[in-house]
Amino acid sequence: MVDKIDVIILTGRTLQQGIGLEVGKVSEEYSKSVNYAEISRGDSRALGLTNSSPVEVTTARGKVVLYGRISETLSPGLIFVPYGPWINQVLGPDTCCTGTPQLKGVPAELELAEGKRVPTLLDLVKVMRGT
Amino acid sequence: MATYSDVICPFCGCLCDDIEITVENNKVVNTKNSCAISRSKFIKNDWGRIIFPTINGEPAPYEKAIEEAVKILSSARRPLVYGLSKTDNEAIREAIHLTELVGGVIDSTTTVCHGASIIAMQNTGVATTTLGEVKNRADLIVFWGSNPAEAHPRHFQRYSVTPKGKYTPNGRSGRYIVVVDVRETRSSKLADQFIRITPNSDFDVLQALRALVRGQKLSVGEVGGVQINILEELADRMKGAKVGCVFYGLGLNQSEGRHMNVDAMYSLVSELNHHTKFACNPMRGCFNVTGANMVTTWQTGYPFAVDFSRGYPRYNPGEYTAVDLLAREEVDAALIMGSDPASTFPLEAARHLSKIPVVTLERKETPTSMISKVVIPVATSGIETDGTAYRMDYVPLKLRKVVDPPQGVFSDAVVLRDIIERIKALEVDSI
Repeated sequence: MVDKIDVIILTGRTLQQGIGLEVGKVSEEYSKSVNYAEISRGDSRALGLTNSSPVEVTTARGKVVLYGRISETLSPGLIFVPYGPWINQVLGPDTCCTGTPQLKGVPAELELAEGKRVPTLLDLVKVMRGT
Repeated sequence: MATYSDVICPFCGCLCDDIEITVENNKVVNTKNSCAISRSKFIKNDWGRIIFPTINGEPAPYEKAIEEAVKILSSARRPLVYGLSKTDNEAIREAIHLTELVGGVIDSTTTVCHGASIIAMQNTGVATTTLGEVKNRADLIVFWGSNPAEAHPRHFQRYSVTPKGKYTPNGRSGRYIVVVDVRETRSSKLADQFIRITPNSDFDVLQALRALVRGQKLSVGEVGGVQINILEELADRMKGAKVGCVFYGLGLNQSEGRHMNVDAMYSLVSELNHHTKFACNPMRGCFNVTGANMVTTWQTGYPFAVDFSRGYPRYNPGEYTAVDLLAREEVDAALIMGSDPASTFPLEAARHLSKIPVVTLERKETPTSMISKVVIPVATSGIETDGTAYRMDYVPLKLRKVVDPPQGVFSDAVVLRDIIERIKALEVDSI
């Protein structure tokens, strides 16, 4: 068992995220569709992760707590998080003069977040407001 | 109860035009032919709707909200107008007019999706095609950094994988499907060949393929995690296709290299056209993000990131793009429509929106509406209003209204025209 693992963040669309956002951003369907990270079976075992327990993702830009989901298809060293305000807490705004921030292939550290809570959408709005 | 056939789905860039909608008591109660996301959009259209304007979170009459929006936008030194991609072309045209009037900057969600692709297109030129041509002619399809099974659920069925066309009578069995991606996806499971590449190695793999297509031998064993013999086989397969098409996604331009990855893709496709007919199209997400680029180009000469502060349009991604403007805290007011940047932008950019007065035109509550000074509810484009939109292959289609919007709720175009008229009146008064 290890405390932390170096990973690369991949983001993207999912069917459930599409369904959730069309119900509404304040719906439970939406939050559930984007507030998790898929983690490979190998990395999950190394960390001692059980399905749906919280994990913390840390990049040069910040930290966010997400639900961990064990993936049978993802390669070790990669995590997948659907696009949304949760993962945007730790992605940077540098666009390299293109207008597009780097939302995929971002290095991060992954660790278990026992005792920490996955933020709600309202928590994230408060963070944005600085309140 | 009324049934409407051949309705266009206003969710993704596929703009599927064969949806059947059943309406009862001004509510969509059933859909046919729609994917799961489209069904959610139609059936949940009335869930959680904003039905009256607010100022500072308090209910306000429509006229008062328009007045407040006019005050914010006309007094700002550098206002940003952002979004555009989930509304119709008619509203986008008004948004550009408004931006010109207030000397602001206008940008669309293109900036965080295929903006970098457009920069590449401007560098290399494009070999494009329509989805009809793909359906009727293409026998090799490559999905690169895209996952249509989840983001464009009916693309396979209607255009690219299974449909039978004039010169593709065998449908699925007459096409070879390749998926290139950094992870296994629902799309890769449906492909004939899945090529897994290392994250951030798209440029290397594409340049290697380009060299192979040109007949050069490479002296390395693998590129981007892919054995060279697999790339050689793919290069031969591409050259040997009767008609091929690459549908690329954000895996290319949101990774390291951004527009240079797409540049390499278009250069490869250009090379392939020395051997056969090959095209390359971006998989566009929001239903009218292509329209946002098209209308902005008709009106200003540029596809996104347009600045009117000198009274004439200037274009410069990185300088006039929304994420950059917000991260540098350059703008002092914003009008947001057809998007939710507080959710979709990195926190360090989104945060500035909570420090400046924001006017949001929105259907449902979002993080952006929560931090806005003025929120004006709008009708759902393509469900509660008619209008036109561009499919991802630049084909314009007419959207169809199937239900009425809530009472006192107007289309984006009407709300924008009301703001424009009042700003024009202010200018007359000040002469």
